[in-house]
Amino acid sequence: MSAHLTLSDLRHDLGGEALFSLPALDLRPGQLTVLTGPSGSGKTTLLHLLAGLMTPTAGRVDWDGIDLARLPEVARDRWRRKRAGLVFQDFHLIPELSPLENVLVPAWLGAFSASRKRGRAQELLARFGVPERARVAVLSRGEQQRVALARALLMEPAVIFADEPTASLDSASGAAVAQTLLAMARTEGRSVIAASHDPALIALADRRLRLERGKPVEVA
Amino acid sequence: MNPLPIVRASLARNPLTVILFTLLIALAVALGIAISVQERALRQGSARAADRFDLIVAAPGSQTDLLFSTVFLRPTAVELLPGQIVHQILNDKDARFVAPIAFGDSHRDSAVVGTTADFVTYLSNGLAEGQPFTSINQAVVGSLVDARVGDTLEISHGHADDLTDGSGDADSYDAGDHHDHDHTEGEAHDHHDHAHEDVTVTGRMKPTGTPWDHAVVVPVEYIWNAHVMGTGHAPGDTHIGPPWQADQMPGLPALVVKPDTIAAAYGLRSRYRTAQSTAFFPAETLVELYSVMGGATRVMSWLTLAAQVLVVTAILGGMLAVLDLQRQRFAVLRALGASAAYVFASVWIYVGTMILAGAVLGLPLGWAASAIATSVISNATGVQMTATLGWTELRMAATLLALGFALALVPAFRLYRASVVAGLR
Repeated sequence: MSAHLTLSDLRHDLGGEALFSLPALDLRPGQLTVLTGPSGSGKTTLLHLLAGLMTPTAGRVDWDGIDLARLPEVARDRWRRKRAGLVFQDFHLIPELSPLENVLVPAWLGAFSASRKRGRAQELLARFGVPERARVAVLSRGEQQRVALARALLMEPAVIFADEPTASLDSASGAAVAQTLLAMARTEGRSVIAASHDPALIALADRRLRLERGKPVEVA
Repeated sequence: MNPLPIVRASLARNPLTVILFTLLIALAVALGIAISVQERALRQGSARAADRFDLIVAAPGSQTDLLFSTVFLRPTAVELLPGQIVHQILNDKDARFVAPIAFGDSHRDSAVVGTTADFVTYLSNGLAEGQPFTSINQAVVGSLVDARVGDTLEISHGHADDLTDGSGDADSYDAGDHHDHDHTEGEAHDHHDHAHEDVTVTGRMKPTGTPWDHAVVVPVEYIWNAHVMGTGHAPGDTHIGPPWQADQMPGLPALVVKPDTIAAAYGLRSRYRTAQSTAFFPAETLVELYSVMGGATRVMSWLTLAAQVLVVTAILGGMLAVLDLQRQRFAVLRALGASAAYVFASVWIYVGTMILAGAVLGLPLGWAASAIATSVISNATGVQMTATLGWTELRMAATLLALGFALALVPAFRLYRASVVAGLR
């Protein structure tokens, strides 16, 4: 389940200018890493690069020896499907589906049987205290984000990417989500990488990387 | 890989749009189906109606007009065949039987047709009730005429259609017999003049599925007599039907000839295609009509198909707009690991489902529209028609379906190529 990330000579340009460059970075599994920095500093872009949603201008994004930057799109899709879980600021649930169905979405994407994952989906919803059958729209924002967390965990990914996971939540819900992300890293041994402004989440992180003027700075 | 739950969710997202688009496709399909079914029903019904009219001999003129007036009892202006030629045909040895056909009068909405009792029996395979007429003021009614055996019917000069607009002098019979017959304009407007005596119903025909089901059939002598042309018999001779006297023979609009053999049929047709008469097989004239009608139908069908393609294209245009609203959803799916093929399949099935539903709904809708039109036309013409779905319509729906599925590739390809990162913003 663990995943080890190594970045080397990573550079990403935007409009002909360098957005950021990382000569080297090593993230070990079982850690919660938070990317911070002002808006427009490239936190989300870096997260997308690490998740293989886009490819860098130069450099390597090496997950356990697999360089995502060199993989074709189909292979990057497959890597995310099998190895990664994603959590978004606005949850991005499908309102026409029940919470249970929303959690099962990753199981429909690949060549595996969704029925085998049904039990795990129910288990995750029970763990997060969200009803299986309800209209997503009537769930609280905290509950909706917990459904999104359950969806991210369904396929038992080695890496969790979270983009501003607490930004849309009240402080109590945000704190609960932050604790969950921490538990995913420390208890379950996953690599959890989040982009966030939330001081509560930043405070819990094992590593903090601040993006400033295109350079990530390790914050104590 | 299972895109169906996503398709279901996408369909549920804009139900009104989905229903509207599906209905538009259904209407486009129904239009094509209705035209095709209607054309076939008309062709089969008219062919069945003309089935018992082997050869028609008449005065030179439009065969189509003669066909419409003799078989379909539609009022058209036809010339009269001279009496001596009528007599010659009536006694032709190559004919198994010859039936004189005279028209020009009406009873309420029913055409009054003069012929022989034998032809009535032949046309309807015997009578449903009563007896054939045996005297000049008797009648046999078609199966759908609102009259009972024993009723007395009032006969008017001119056709029902003419009576409606008060222009009784447009009578086709008069158009031909103007030289024998001296109706004044005033008489022509007098719909029940002294020459038209009432007739008593003696029998009812079995259903024929032709306009004759709405007709009142009288002895041909009645029509001649009513139009002051004699009876074809010597004065004082009151019998009806053959034989008629050559020197007393009035003119006639048409004769229906049943030849003995196929060779005899062609011989008769050739013999009576002269300067004074024309002879034709109704089936032949119908084939020519079908050819014109078929050509028009083909043009209509292509126009309909073009309209359907335009409708589907317009719908796909709308679909692109609707799908643009769902771009983020598909970007999220890609971020979660969905392959581009998964997104492509989801969008294609989503659009294809609407096209399939529209086509499936359009088939019965088109059939129902055609059944209503068929019923209206049947009532108006008396030609019994049946609206049935055939391979042509299924092929038509399948063609549109195939085109729709092909066009559905456009939005599918568009989302397949869409940037994931841009969609997530």
